[in-house]
Amino acid sequence: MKRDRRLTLSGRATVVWCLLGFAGLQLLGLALTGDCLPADRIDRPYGEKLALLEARRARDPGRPLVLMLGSSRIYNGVRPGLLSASDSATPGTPLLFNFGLTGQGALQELLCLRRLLARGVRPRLVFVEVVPSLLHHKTAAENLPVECLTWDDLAVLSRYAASPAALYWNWHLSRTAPWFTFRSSFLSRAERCGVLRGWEQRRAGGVDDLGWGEMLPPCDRAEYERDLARARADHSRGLQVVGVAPTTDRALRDLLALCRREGIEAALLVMPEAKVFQSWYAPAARAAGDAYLRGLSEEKGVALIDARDWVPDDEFRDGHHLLATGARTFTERFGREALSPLMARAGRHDPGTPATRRRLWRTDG
Amino acid sequence: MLFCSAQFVLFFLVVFALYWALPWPRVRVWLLLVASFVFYASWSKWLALILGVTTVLDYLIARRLEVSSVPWRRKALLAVSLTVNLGLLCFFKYANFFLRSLEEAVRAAGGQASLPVLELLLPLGISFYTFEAISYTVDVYRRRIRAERNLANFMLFILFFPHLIAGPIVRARDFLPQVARRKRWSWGRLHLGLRYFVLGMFKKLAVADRMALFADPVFSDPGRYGTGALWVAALAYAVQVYCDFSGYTDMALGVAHMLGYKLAPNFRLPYLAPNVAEFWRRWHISLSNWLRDYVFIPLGGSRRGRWRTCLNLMVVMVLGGLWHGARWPCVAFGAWQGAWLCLHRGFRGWSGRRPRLDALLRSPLGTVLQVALTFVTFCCALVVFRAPTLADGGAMLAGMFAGRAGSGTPMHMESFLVLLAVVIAGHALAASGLGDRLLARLPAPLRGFAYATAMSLALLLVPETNKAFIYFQF
Repeated sequence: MKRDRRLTLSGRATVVWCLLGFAGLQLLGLALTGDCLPADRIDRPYGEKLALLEARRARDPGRPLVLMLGSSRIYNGVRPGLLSASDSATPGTPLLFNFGLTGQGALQELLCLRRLLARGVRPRLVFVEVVPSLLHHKTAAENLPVECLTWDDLAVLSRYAASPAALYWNWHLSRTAPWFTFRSSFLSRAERCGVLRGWEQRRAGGVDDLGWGEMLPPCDRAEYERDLARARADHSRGLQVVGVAPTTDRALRDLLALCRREGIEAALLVMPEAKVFQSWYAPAARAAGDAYLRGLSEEKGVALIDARDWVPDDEFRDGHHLLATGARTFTERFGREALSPLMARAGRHDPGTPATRRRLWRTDG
Repeated sequence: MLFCSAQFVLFFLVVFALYWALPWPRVRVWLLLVASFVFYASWSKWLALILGVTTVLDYLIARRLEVSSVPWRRKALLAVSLTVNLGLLCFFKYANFFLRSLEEAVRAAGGQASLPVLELLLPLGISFYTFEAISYTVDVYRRRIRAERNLANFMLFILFFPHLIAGPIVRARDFLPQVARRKRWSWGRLHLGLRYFVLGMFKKLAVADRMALFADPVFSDPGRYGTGALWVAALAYAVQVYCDFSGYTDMALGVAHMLGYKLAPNFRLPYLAPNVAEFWRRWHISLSNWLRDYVFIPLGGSRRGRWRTCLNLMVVMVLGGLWHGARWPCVAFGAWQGAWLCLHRGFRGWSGRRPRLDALLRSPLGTVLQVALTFVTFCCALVVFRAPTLADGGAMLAGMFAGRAGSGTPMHMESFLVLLAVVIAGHALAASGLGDRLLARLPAPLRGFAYATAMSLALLLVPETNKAFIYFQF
C-alpha cells in the first residue's frame, strides 16, 4: 500500500511537472521569437532571396530595381546575370532580380511585394507572373503555411480568406508549439553560435546572387516523360476549366493597384510553355484565360507579355519549367523585347513618395 | 491523423477527458469505438465503412463457429472469414502487383500483354487488422477462446485506434478481457503512458525523420554517391526504420496505457540480437508470433525434419516479406531472411558439436562479433528492401562493397553522428536497465522536466520535410 501510494504520488508529480515544464518551454520559445520575428526569418525561401537582393543592392546602390515576382517558372526561367546590363555598375542601368518562389501564386506575390515595400525595397518595375492554367485555382489564404506568416501578413490575408477566423486560429495554434513552428530559425541561430552545425536543412542546388536557381537539372528521357506526366496531372484541371477564381482575380487587381499607388510600373508576364503543354489546353479554357489577361491589362493600363511560344520544346525540363539553356533563350529575348521598352516607359514616370508602413497595411486595396 | 500531429493531440485530449469523466464502463467502450471510427474516417470514410462491415461479419461468423459442432459447417464458416479477409487484403494490396508481374512474365516469354492498372486506395492498416481478425476466427475455430458475445467489445478489439493503423497485432485473448475489466484512474499508469509517448515521439521526430535526410536522397539516386555515402545511407535507413516503427509502437502503447489498456511491446532491442533467429524474436514481435502460430506451426513447424523446417521457414519469411509490400524487393528481403535463418539453424547445430567454438561464440568478444554480423547483414538486407527495384538494390550493394568514388553524404555528418551516438547510448541504457533505474531515482520535478525537454527537442529537430510513418504503407 505504501509503495502504491508512493508510486501514485510520484506518477502524479511527474505528469504535472511534465505539463508545466512543457508549457514553460513553449513560453520560453515564444519569448525568444515573439511576434516581432520578421518575415525573412520565419519564411526561409523569402528570407534567402531577400538577403541576396539586399546584398546586391548594397553592392550596386542607385540602380533602379526591376523585380520578377512569380513561381518556380520564374525561379528556373529568368537568369538576370545573362543580361549585360545586370553586371554594369553604372548607376541608372536597371538591376534585374529574380524573386521567384516555388508555389507562389497571385496572393503570395501580393504579400511578397507588400513585405518588400515595408522593408524599404522599392522596385521601379515589377513583372508579375500569371500562370493561366492556375487562374481557376482558389488560392485560399487559409491554405498558406501559417508558420511563415507574420501578424502583419494576417491583416492582409484575412481579406482573402473565406474564414478569417480559421486563418487566425491556425496561426495561433502554430504558435502554441514555437519550437516546432520556428525550428528553422532556432537551428540557424544555433549554427551561428557554433552549436548544432549542419542540422538545418539547406535546399539542394545554389541560387546565384541575382536569384536564379537551377531547381531541375537535365535528366534522361524516362525521367522527362515522368515529369511531363506529373505536370499534366498537376495542371489538368486548370487546362480544361473556364474561369478565374475570385480570390486570384482580386489578388491580381489589388497587386496592380498597389503598384499604381506606389508609382511602380507593372507588367503581367506569362512564362514560356512547351508546345506539348500548350496542346493540353481546352480551346475554351485557353480563349477565356487569354481574354481575361488582355482585359486586365487594358483595364489596369499594364503591359501583358505572353512569352509562351518563346522557347523551343527541347529546352524545357518538364513542359513548363525551363532548363538552363531555355532560361538563357528566354532571358535574352526578355531583355530585348520586354525589359528595355518597359524600363524606358518606367523612366518617364515619377516614382512617387515612399509608402509608410501604415499605408501598406491599408485594406482598401 | 498522425500521432505526432496537432490534430491528433487535440483529438486525443478530447477523448481522454471524456473517457475519464464518464464513470460508466459500457459508455467508455462506446466512446472509444466512436473515437476509433472518427480516427480511421479522417483518412477515408468509405474505407472505415468497409472495415466496419468486415468486422461485423467476423463477429457473426465467430458466434456461429462457437455454437456449431458440425465439422464441415465449421470449416466452411472459417473459410468464408479467411476468404473475405484475405480476399480484401489481396485485392487492395496485391492486385496491381500480380497484374504487373503477370504482364512482365508474358512479355518476358515473348508475348504481348497490356493489363489494366487498378486505381485503388490502400486501406490504412489493412495488413494489421486483417491479421487480427484472422487470428480471432482461427482461435475460435480451434476452440482456444470463446467467441465474444458483445459486438461493441469485439469491434473495439479490431478498431481500437492506438493499434489500428500500424499494430502491434493484438490477440483477442489479451485484449478482450481488458475491455470487460473496469478501468480505474491511475497516475502511475498515466505516467507510464506519458513516458512511452514521449520516447516514441523523440524516436520518430528527432531520430527517424532526421535519418531519412541521409537515406532518401541516396536511395533515390545511388549511382551518384560514393561508397562512404552509401554505407551512411544504409546505416541511416536501419536506424530510421527501427526508430520510426518502434517509435510509433511506443506512442501506441503510451496512448493505450493512458486509456487503461495494456498492449504488448513490439520490439526488444533487436539490433542487440546475437543471431538472426533471436533478431526475429525481438523485431516486430507481434508479427513474428502471428506468423509462427498461424503459418509456421500449421505447416509442421520444426517437427518434420531439417529440410521441411527450412522450407517452412522460407515460406513464412517470404510471406512476411510480401506482407511488408507488394514489390519484388520485399519478397527478396523475406527470402534472404529465410535463407539466413536456415543457415543459422545449420550453423547452430554444427557449432553445438564443437565445444571450444561454442565457448568462443558465447564469450563477450564472440557475442559482440555476432551482434555486429547480425546487424550488418540486416542492414544489407534492408538496402534491398528499401531500393525501388531489385536491380537498384543490387547496384547499391555492389557500390557499398566494391569501393567507389562519388558524392559525399547529402547532409553534414554532425547530425548523423550525434543521433547515432544517442541511439547507441539509448540501447546501452536500456540493455543494462540503467535507464529505468536512473529515471526512477530522479526527483519527480526533474523527471517531468526531462520529459518536457525531450518533447520540445523532438519538435525542434523535426526536419522540414515531414514524413508519415513507414509502416503505414504496410
